[in-house]
Amino acid sequence: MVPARATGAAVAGADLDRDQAELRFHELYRANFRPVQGYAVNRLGAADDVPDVVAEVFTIAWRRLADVPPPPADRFWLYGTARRVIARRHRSAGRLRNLLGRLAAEWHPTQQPPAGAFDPVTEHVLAALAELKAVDREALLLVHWERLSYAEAAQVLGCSANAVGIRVHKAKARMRALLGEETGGGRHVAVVRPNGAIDGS
Amino acid sequence: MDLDTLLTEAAPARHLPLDGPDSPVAVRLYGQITAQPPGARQSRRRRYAFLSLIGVAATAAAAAVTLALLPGSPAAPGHRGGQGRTTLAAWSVIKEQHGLLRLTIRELRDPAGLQQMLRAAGVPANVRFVHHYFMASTSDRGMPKGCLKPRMSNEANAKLQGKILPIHPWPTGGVAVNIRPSAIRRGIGLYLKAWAASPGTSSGAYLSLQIDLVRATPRCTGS
Repeated sequence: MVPARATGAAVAGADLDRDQAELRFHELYRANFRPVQGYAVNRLGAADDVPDVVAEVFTIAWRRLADVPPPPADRFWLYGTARRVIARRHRSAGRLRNLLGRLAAEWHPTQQPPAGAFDPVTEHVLAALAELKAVDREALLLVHWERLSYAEAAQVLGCSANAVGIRVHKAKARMRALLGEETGGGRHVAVVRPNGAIDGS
Repeated sequence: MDLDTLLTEAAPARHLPLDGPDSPVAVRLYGQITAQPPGARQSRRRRYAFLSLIGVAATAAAAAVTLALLPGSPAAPGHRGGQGRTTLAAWSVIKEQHGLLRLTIRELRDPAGLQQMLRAAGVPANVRFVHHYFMASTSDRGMPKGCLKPRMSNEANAKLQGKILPIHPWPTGGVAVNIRPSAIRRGIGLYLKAWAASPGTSSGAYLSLQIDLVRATPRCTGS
């Protein structure tokens, strides 16, 4: 039987014995497996790296269980961990051109459409997102894709809610310029397809 | 359609099926994670070691592969596991399908034997086991005496490593890596350095393995 999530608060921060740890991790895992996977998919597309990222995030959570805050902040902690895991993998891939034998594609978050691809409008949005500054993009995506409030996104990013609001505002302004929503003729955005072809728009 | 709606609709996760926590993938992963010792509160140094070693050492430069996983303590050599458990060797080299060798290191013993085994299996290798904390590095100073880096760009080096060291297997205790001997070009060898991040801890030491390409020479790799 799955225990109530409230028990997490009672054990968080304490030295955990094996049973407590498993109980807590079980709840954490069940409640957050899909959201963490969704986060990884949203940042990496349908990349092969998604299962590895999910595995690494939960492995870290298991090893650092005492540091994981109680719900609902545990999800923000996991998102923050996933963000760092992806960033580290990106850095490593950049240095090593893929650590473990798989040549990594250039890391363009959200620019790699999954097989089957999106409709042209979505592809334009994804391509425009890839042109944002990383910190602004992450704030925007946490709010719109992970459906977090500014305060919640601030916990993931380790900044103030006000800073998140500013980043989201800047990101949206840039998106509007790129997509031409307000000007009616913004900058054209190239769409990079999985086969490497570049479509202008 | 306004920007907010466009953005929301564009989320890749909305267009892809996600596995639930009861899916076979999730259940298998859960079992693999919880088979390791649970994480009690750790000292800052210990935590840093773990974070720096799991997956990729962030400080590793262009020409190294570093793997780090928790050793499976029940399988550690020299120790009897529970009833019915077998005792595994400190390391093993197993011929797999498709011309691959699977190297698993469970305990830092007999590096010379492992080196000899790898060379006999067609891998010009230099093997070192380090019994103290070591941070992954590709500095020339980290190379053993008589070993030199190959003359190639970092990118070519990493690409060649990708061919020689394809996707790593999930270790059954220790740290494991697949090696494809047929991808090792003439004049190229492997320098393997394994170390334990924090030996002697109650929950087991973190075994790590760094692999660099080196010039194959009699002094460094035996041929």
